[in-house]
Amino acid sequence: MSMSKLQANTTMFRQIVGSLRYLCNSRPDICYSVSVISKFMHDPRKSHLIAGKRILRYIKGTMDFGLLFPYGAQSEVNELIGFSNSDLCGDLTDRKSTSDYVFKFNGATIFWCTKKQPVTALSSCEAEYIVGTFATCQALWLD
Amino acid sequence: MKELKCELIKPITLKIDNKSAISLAKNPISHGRSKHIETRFHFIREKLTNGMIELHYCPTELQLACGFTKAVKLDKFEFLRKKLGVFDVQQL
Repeated sequence: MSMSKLQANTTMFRQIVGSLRYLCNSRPDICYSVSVISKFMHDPRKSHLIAGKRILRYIKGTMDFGLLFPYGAQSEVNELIGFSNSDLCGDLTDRKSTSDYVFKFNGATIFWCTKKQPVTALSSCEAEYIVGTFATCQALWLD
Repeated sequence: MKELKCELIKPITLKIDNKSAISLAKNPISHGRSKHIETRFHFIREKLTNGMIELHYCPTELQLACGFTKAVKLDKFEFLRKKLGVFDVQQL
């Protein structure tokens, strides 16, 4: 039987995803990969578990990494810059796009989000437009 | 931020790597191809006209949020990781 068919240990997989989700709050670099494997929480297969272990291995290799909040060299004005991006039809099964946005405050990353959009976008322009709206909401909340 | 006694400069900049999305937000005209977009997503237009936010085009290479939507190659990933401010504590 191929690996994609074999059932994985569901409880263990969910525990791994849960712990990784917690880690996402301080490590933006693993945010996307964790969001990919957490789509398979319901019925994980062996291949999903392997992907999860791959992330754990990456974390082991980058144990000392952390977010840097630069001190000094700051200007008088406080500036908030948002970056928003989307992929059109990232999920091939339901054709929904992924939206994501990052906010930087005086050069330090303070907020990031990766989320599947609630509606199906028909064009990349529409997908970006929807992310823009979500990012605007977040910017207004941060303000 | 106001509660933190931290005044932000207005408008807040938002960088998007799609020019047509920016023009769609800037022109408050509805036409055939954008008709189906739900009304609640036109919130961005309102805030743009109010002067709360400002949209800028940002080429894909400089788009920080790029690594959040797709799997990127190692060199790109390391570049984005550095840009996001994730550093090795030992090397600082």
